[in-house]
Amino acid sequence: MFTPELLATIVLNGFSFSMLLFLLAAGLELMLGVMSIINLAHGSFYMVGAYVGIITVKSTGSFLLGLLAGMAIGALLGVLTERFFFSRIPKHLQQVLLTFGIVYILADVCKSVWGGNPIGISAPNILAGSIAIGTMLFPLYRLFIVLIGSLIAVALWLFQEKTLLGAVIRAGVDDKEMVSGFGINIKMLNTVVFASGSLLAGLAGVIGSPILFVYPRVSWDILILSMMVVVIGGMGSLRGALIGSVIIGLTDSLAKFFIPSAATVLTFSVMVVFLILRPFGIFGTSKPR
Amino acid sequence: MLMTLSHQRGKSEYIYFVITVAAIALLLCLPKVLSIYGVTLLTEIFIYSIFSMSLNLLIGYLGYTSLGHATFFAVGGYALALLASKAGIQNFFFCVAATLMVGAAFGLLLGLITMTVSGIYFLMITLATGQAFWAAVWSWRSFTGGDDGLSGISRPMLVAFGHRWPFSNEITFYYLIFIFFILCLSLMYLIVKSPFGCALLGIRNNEMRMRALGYNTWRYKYLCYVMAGMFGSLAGALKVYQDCFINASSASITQSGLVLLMVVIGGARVFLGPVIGAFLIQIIANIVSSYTEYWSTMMGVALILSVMFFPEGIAGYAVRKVNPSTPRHK
Repeated sequence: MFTPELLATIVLNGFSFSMLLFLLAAGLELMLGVMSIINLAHGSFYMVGAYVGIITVKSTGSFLLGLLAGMAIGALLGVLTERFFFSRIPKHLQQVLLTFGIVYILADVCKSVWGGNPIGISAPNILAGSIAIGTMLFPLYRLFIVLIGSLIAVALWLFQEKTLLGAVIRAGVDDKEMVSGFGINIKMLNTVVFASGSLLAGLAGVIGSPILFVYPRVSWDILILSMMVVVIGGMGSLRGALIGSVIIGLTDSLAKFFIPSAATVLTFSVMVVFLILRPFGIFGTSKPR
Repeated sequence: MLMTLSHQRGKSEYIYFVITVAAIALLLCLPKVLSIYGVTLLTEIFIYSIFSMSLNLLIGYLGYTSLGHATFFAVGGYALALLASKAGIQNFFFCVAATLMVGAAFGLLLGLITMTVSGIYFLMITLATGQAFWAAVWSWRSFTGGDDGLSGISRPMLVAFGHRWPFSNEITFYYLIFIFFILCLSLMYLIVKSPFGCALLGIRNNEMRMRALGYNTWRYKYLCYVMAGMFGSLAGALKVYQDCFINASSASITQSGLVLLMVVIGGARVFLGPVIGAFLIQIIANIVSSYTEYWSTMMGVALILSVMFFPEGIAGYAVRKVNPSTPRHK
């Protein structure tokens, strides 16, 4: 039976999923904008962050430590990938292929260390349970995700608009050569961008683990969704990432409720519609890359 | 037609011709000396060669990297599987022709979506369409059998010249696939050496310029995509004939990645590069999988090494060694 409570639950689920996607898409968007690479391993960083976070939480009992661990491993993987590989391969296509190779390796690594079965953790005690708003009951953890996601979104926006590094990054998205011409170390910028994106991916992995299971294949599933967000929102735009993730997250949540077997196809159709109407995303520019 | 033996052509054409004939002769004789396992492996290599060559039409000649080519492989495979098992159609020619039609139809439809973008966006959209298709195949159990797939497909029964040719024998099947292999490669050779193929190369190098020259580039790209799709579907169908089985993994990203790996490792800029890639990857796969289950890691390492040290692929590297003045493309 379709009640307002049900709708609210679906919407909340959708929003919380959107926030997760936003964390991933923001990083992906940044990498795309500044470095023009699609990091296919982004989903893998999410996965590794989730696994490491889960293990940390299970062994230390502290969710906060888990979050930090996820962020740390994400940043580490990002720095390693960028320093060791990307800096040695100049062409974009080959960088993309390289990330593809990393996906394969990380998938097997995770499968060998943690097994092929999906694992997850339950929400930390202070965030478990539900809260009553009016007459409706909402899971506290989902609200937490929405809150954290929004906070990070605001923080990212402030960083991008109000700080010097943010300005440099925005400039890098617009015109990389010019930024280099101004004497800014574009290599360091690339590393910072890549590491931050991966950090967000790892964080998303840990935050998402109480609601999504982690398994070796999750890297592709989550990557596709993040990419849909980027395609809809536009490359290099934080606003785009937010709007896109809200659209995809809500679509996915609604679709999973109404036609669970065709959810991915429906979400994909939404992306196709956007692509036909606005190929470069809502906030993207049609500048050739 | 292919090559003249006139000395004006130069010695290299003559050498290539001799090598080709020798290779064909060798492949024709191999079943006599190889075990059944070897014959099956070689058959598989032929099929994957067609598949990787089809992808190379997009990657090497048009310059568009697709991460969703497994879609066509699955389309062809399932079309054949459904025709042969559920519709019970045994006529070989009809099945193959129908598969090609279905592949073309998919190419025509998908091309409308995918050929609107280029470069990185094309990569993303082919990845997304590939995954969406895989999800559809995986979920639609009543039609495709999902993860369990469809089985019980019998080998083709050819009825021609008043004689029935069953292909349940691995060796006769080998020869059938070999004929397809030669046919497809010859067809693709004609395509890439034709003005159409040259136009594709032009689009890869500088689309703006081609348009300035008056070419309707979208039409060329679209056609190329459809062709790649048709050959890919054919490969998928042949694979179903070999395995007598198909399941959702034919449409998975792993399959798309595998064929991409074949093209990249073999060499996208050399005509026969993907064939070499298919050969190498299948050999390695069969050897590696008997030692370890970590095939994914091997693939990843192979891809990374290839990208870092052999950006032009093994064939590209070899061609460059033989002729150091081979032009480096973009």
